[in-house]
Amino acid sequence: MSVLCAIPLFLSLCMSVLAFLLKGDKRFEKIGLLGFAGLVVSSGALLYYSAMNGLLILEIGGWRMPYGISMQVDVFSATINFFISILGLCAYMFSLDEIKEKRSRAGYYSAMFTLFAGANGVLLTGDLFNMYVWVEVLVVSSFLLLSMGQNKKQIKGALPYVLLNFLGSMFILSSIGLIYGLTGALNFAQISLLMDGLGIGPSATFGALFLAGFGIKCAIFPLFFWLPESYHRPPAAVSAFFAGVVTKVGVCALFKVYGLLFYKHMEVFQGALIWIGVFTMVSGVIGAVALYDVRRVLSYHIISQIGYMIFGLGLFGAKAWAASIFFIVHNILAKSNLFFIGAEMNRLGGSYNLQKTRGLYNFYPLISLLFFISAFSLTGIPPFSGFWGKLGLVEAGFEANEYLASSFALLVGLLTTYSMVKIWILGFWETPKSEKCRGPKNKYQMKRIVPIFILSMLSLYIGLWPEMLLSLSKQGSEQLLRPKLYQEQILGGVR
Amino acid sequence: MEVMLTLVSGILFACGVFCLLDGHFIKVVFGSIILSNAVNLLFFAMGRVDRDTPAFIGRGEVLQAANPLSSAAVLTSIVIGFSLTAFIIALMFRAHEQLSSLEVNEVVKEESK
Repeated sequence: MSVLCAIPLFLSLCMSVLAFLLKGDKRFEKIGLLGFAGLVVSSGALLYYSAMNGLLILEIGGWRMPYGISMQVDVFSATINFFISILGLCAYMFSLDEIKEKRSRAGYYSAMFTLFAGANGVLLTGDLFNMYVWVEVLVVSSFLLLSMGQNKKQIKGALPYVLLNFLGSMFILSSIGLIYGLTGALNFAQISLLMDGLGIGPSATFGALFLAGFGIKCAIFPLFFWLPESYHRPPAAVSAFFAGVVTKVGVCALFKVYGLLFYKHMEVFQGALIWIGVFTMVSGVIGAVALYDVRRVLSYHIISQIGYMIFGLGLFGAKAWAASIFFIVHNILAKSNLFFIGAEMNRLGGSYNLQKTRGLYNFYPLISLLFFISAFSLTGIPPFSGFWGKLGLVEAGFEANEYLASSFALLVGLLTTYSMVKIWILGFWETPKSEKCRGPKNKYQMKRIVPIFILSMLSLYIGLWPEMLLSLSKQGSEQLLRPKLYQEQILGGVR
Repeated sequence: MEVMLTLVSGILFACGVFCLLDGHFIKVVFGSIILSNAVNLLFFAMGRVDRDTPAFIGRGEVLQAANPLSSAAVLTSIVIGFSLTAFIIALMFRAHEQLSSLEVNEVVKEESK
């Protein structure tokens, strides 16, 4: 079954070529939907097999393991990959309505598929240099999607994004180069084996370079300033899968790199990671407090949620990592869905600005309900999905005696609630003041409401019945934290 | 040989960072080009450089072989760096057309208006 590892990647690359050939063609709509459905099915199968059988390994071109490029799929990567594909399907459906002909002629769908190919590649590859290449694929397609349309605002948002991401890639590449120089290996398992024999110095250096590189890409504390400048500018579908894919893949890469390569000297990073996490959450959530533009509020909340993940990464233990994985999945669903709903608020209520769009609940109860589910999932109110992730993280924080940092995590949860309640009260609950907002002018559209509905229901599902995802994330974190077993499984046949 | 390459790469890093910190976007572009070359050179030096040794040897020959992997990887990263640079330059061209200035501070000021 190991050939399954390559199928999501292969499928999205093929679809990207097809999308480019048929750009602006109406016939592509159904083919693309089929492509994303195929992506969901194949990632689902991959998740099923990796959860059943443990590690799946594919040696590309039949080259033996430490020499050739391989794909190695653990439960963690497969889980994230599966949920990213679901998000892809929903974002595609949403784009069908939102993206106008001009953009689709410019190759929007092609770039979207390439972006997912890049994300699949980063998650599923077992080779460090190959991972860099997929990161670049991901990043270049995100540049394209961000600056497509080329109006003044988008160019301004794209400038810092492109330059900082370029810098981040350079950090990652130089770290990979130095690792290669020291160990002579690029395969994760072999580097992991060889790093065991080295002292604390190399781990600290390379880990710090990776943290800087991926930190820029996923917007951690001192490096996040580009995110609120650029994420609210493109169409909502793009913002949604940027929020769900691009930043989250950066976080996942950090988990993989730290879990597999630098686990032995994790104590060097732990304190720094925990406090970077705390600062990230606090600065993100405070940035959002004073804003009234829905998209900007949500952009700042991306940063604050990334903080929780980095906090979990820093706690470094099976329990904390399981909670982080759960949190990442929850965030992929809830956060992206909020961007979709933000776009609907704009379409139905007339503006992204909360001071203009008011009282949507009076005319659009369904979308209000869906917003309620996603927003309160994000804040972590008990029956919803965010609760389980935050509970696990804070619990693990208390167990690790990080009382101060954990209480910050709780406090940030409160401020997140404040922001979401602000959107809820102003945007949905209040009676509309101006004449403009009175009366339902616009109707729901199937292509927009269906993806929002799917994501909300999924988010509700993992909130009410979290056992399945909890056990998956537990399995994933345990697999990541047993590098010895991992090395044996991969290199066992070689030595 | 490796020492020299590493030193050169270090100097290029310094120049690249210096240019990146400049207040004009064109200089930032130059900085990013220099930086990407610095990283490529670093990667190349890390693969250990051999002169006059072939990368591929026949079966049974007891020659020392050079390491082809680092060259292959550097080739890939050169191509990626080149495409990124091309994108950045195209973006700068659009920015030049649409914004009044390419000074970083001016762009930020225009933003806050």
